[in-house]
Amino acid sequence: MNQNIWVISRQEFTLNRRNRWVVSFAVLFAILTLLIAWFGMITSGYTGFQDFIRTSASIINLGGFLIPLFALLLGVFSFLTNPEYLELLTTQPVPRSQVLLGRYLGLVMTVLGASILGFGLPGIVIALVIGVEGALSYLLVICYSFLLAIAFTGLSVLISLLSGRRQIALGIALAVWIFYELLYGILILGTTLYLSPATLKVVLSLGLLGNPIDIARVLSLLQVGGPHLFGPAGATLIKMTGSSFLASVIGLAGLLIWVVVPVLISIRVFNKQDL
Amino acid sequence: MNPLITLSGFEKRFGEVRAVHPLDLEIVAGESFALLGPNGGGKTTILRALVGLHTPTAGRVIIDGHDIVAEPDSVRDLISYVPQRVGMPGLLTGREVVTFFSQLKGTADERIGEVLDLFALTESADRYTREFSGGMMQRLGLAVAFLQDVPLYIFDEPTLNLDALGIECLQNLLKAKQQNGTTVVFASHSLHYAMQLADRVALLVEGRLVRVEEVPLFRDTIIREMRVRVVLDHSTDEMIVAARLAGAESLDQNGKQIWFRAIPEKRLDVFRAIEGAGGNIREIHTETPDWEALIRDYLDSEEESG
Amino acid sequence: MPITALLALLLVNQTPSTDVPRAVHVVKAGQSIALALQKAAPGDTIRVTTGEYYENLVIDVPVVLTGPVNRTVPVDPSDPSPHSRPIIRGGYEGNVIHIIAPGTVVDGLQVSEAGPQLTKDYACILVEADSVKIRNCVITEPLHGIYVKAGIHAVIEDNVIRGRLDLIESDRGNGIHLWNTKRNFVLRNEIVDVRDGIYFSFADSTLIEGNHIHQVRYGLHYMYSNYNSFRDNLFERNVAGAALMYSHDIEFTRNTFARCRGFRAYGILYQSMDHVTARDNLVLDNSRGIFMNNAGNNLIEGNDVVDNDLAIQLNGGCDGNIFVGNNFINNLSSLLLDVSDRETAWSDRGRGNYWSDYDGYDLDRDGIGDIPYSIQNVFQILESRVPEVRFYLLSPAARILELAEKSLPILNLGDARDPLPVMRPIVNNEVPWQMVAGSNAQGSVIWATVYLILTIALFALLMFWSRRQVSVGSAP
Repeated sequence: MNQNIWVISRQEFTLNRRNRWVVSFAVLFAILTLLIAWFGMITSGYTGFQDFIRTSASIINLGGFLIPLFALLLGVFSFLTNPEYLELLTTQPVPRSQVLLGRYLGLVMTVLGASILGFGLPGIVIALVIGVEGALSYLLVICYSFLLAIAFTGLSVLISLLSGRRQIALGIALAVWIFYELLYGILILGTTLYLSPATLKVVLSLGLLGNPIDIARVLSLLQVGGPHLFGPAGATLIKMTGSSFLASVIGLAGLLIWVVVPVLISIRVFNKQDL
Repeated sequence: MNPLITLSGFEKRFGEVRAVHPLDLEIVAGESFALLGPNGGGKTTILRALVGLHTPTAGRVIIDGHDIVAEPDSVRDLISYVPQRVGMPGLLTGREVVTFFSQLKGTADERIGEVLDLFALTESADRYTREFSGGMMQRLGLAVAFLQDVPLYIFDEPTLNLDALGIECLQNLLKAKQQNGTTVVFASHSLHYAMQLADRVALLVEGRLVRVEEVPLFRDTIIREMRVRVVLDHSTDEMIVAARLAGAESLDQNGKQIWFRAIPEKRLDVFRAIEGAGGNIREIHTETPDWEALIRDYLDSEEESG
Repeated sequence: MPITALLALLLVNQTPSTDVPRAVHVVKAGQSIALALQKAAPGDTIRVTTGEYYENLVIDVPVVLTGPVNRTVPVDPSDPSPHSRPIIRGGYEGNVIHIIAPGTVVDGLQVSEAGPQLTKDYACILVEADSVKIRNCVITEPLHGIYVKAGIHAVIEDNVIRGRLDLIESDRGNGIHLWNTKRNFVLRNEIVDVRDGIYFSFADSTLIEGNHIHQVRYGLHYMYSNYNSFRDNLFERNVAGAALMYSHDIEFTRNTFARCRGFRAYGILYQSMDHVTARDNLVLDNSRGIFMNNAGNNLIEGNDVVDNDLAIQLNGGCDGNIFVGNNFINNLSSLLLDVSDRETAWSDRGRGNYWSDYDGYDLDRDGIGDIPYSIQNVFQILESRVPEVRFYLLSPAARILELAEKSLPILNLGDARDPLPVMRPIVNNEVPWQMVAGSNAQGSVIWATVYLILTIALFALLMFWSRRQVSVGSAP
C-alpha cells in the first residue's frame, strides 16, 4: 500500500496510543469483558454450552455497545478537535484520499487495538473452559466484532466530514449510536404489532442487514449457538439461504458493505470538500 | 514573463456570502507578492484557494499550468503553506512532527535537524507540541514548510502569531529564497512587513481587489497618506487656517495637538505655516495610515480615472 | 404405585434355578462354539477362551455362554476391542447370536458383525425366548445391538453397545430394541453411536435404570409401551433426548437429559402421553427442554430445567399437566405456546416453581413471591406470533422492550402464569447433578495459550508498528 497512508496512519495511531482517554477505555473494556468471561464461565460453575452462549452474547453485546461508541467518539474527536492540522495535512504533497485513508486506518488500528485486548483476553478463559470447539467459534465472534468496530470507525469519519463542526458531529454521532444500539431494534420489533406475519418475515430478516450491530450479533450467535438457537426462525433462515455457512456468508457480505461504503463515501466527500 | 499563478474570474461564495468578488490576478515566478487589506477582505480565502483548501465558486486558478480543481495533486507538489494559526497534534514532539512531514514530503532525514535549527527549535524539539507557545508553534509550522525546496511558498499572516525570533528567521530565509527565484505569496494586514518583504501588493477590501501595485509606488501612496501629528504648547484656529492654506488636508485639532495630511514636499511648508501662526512645535510624529484612509484614497483615484 | 409393585414381583422371579451341578464345556480359539452347543445339555456352561470365533450361533439349549470366568473384565468404553473378552464375529451376515432357548445366559463376550440389512432387523444378539440374561458383553459392529423380540423377562445389564460410525445414521440399527415384550430389566448399559438408544414398541412393565446413552439419534424411541419405569439414566449429546409417544403410566426419576442441540432437538418429548410422572430429573443445556404435544395429565415435579434455549414448549391438545416444584434456571426463554394456555397448572398444593428470571418480591416472607410470574415475557409473545423475532434474541432492544413492558404493560402477556412463584431455588438433592458434574467440555490449555499469545502478539505488533515512525530521525 501507499507509503503515505502508512505514515499517516502510524502517526494517527501513535497519537491515540498516547491519549490517556483512549488507553483508559481500552483497559476498562478489557477488564469488563474479562470479568464477564470469568463470571460467566468459571465462577458460575460452568454447566453447559448455554453458559458459553450467554457469555459470548454478553461480550458481544458489551462490545456492540461500547466499541461503536468508542469508534464514533474517537473519529469525531480525531478529525474535528484540530481542524487546522487536517487542513495542513491536505496541503502536503499527498492526495486527499490518502490523507483520509491514512487517518481512517490509524483510527481503525486504534479501535482494533482496544478490541484485541477486550475480545482476546476473554478468549483465554473460554478456551480454558471449553477448549477447541469454543475457541474456534469465539475466534469468528472476534472477527465479526472487529468488522463491526471497523464499520463504525468508517461511519464516524463520514459523520465528521459531513458535519464539519465538533459539537454537531458529536450530537450526530451519539444519535447514530443510540439509533443503531436501541431504536433500530425497537422500531423493527415494533412493526410486529402492525404488519402481517408474511410481511414480517421479510421485514425482520432483511431488517437485520440494515444495522451492522444486528448483523454482528446474529452472526456471532449463529456461530456460538448454531442456527437452532433461533428456533423455527433459524430453520427458515437455513431454508432461504441453503446452509448455515451461506447464511453467514450473506451476513458477512452485509457487514462488509457497512465497512466499505462509509469509507468510499467519505473519500468522495473529502475529495470535493471545501475545508 | 509567464505568470506562475493565474486567477481568472475567480470568485468564492460561502452560501449567500460573497467572500471574494470575481477578480483576475497574475503572479509571476520569482516574485514576492502580498495580499493586503483589513480583516474580512478575502485574503485568506484566496490563499486557501491557492493551496486547494477551497474550490472556486467561479473562475479558474492555474498554478504553473495546472488547474487547481482538475489537478490538485500536481499543484500540491509545488507548494509549501503556512496558515495563520498552525495546528499540530499536541501529543507529538516537535521532532516527531517534523519527521512525520519529512516522510510525507519525501525529504532526506538530515533536513529534519536542519530546519529545527533554522527556526531555533532544536532545544525544545523533544517536547510535546502541546507545551509549545503560540510563537513556537508558528515556527514549527515554518520549519515544516521549509523542509523542502518548492517553487511557491504561501503564508497567511506570517508575522501575526510569530514571535520576534521567528520573524527574523523568516525574513532572512525569504531573502535567501528570493534570490533563487522562489515565489512567495503572503497575506498580511501589516503594511510594515508587507513593504519589507513584498515586490508587489494587492489591496483587498470586502472581497474586492481594489488595486495591484508595485511596492515603490505603493510606498509613495502610503507616505502620502501618512498623517502627521504635531505637538505644540497650544493650538489655535489660526494655526489650522494657516496650515490649510499651506496645503494640509484632513486637519484635526485637540488641545496641544494638530493632525494633518500632506504630500511630503508640502509638509515643511505646513510646519512653517503653523509656526508662523504662533505655534511652537515641540514634537513631530508620522502615523501609518489606517486602512480606511488608504481605501478612501484608492477609491477616490478610481473615481477620478473612471 | 402399581408399577413398583409389579417390578418387585419380577425381581423375585428372575434368579434361574441352580439345583443340579452342570457340565462345563471349554471352547478354545480355533474350535467351534456351535459344536459345543450341539453337545451341551440344558443348564451346561460353555466357557469360551479369549480369541476370535467366526460363527453365527443359534442357542436352542438353555446354557450359560461365558467368557473366561474369574476375570473381572472391565467394560471400558474407550477400548473397543478388549482382547481379554472372546470375540464372536458374525461376518456381517444375519444375527450373530440368536437365542431361542428360555433361560439362556450370555456373559462376558464381545459380539460383533451383524448383517447390515435393516429390513431384516438383524441383531448382534437376537432374543426370542423368555428369561434370557445378557450381561457384561461388548457389542460392536451391530445392526441392532440386542433385540428382544416377543420374549419376556429379559435381563440386559452392564453391556456396552457401540454402533457403526461407518454407516450413516439412518442405516444404523438401535442399541437395544424391545418389541412385543414385557417385564424386562435394562440396567447399567452404555449405548453409543447407534440410531436410537433404546427402542420400545409394545414393551410394557420394564425397569430401565442406570443406563448411559449418548451420541445417538433418539436416546429413547418409545411407542405403545406402558407402565415403564426410568431411573438414574443419563441421556446426553443425542440428536434428541427421549421421545415418548402414544403411551401412558410412565415414571421418570432422577434421569438426566442433557445437551441435545439442533432444530428438532429436545430433552424430553411427550407426544400423546398420559399420566407420566417426571420427578427429580435434570433437563440441562438442550435446544428445547420439555416439548409436549397433545399430552395430558402429566406431572412434572421437582425437576431442574437449566440452561436450555427454550425450557418448555406446549403445543395443542395439552390438558391437565402439572408443573410444580421445578427449578427453571437460566433458560433463554421459558415457554413457547402455540395456543393459549389455560389448562396447565403451574402450581399445586400452595406452591409453584422457581424461575430464575422472576423479579417479584416477597413482603410477607413466606418464600412465595407476592405477584404472579408471567411465564412469557413480551419478547416471547412477539416471538410466538412471528418466529423471526427471535433474531433479536439477546439484543439490547429486546431487553429494553422487556423492561418497558414490566413498568408499563401494554400487551396481554398471555394466560401462562405461575401464581405462586418460589423466591429461591428449591433445594432438591435427588436431582442427579453429579452425573454431569461440571460439563462435558474439555478445556484446552493449548488453546488458551494460543489466545494469550495471539492477543499479546497482535497488540505488540500494533505497538511496534506505530513506534517505527517515531524512531526514524529521532536521533539527534
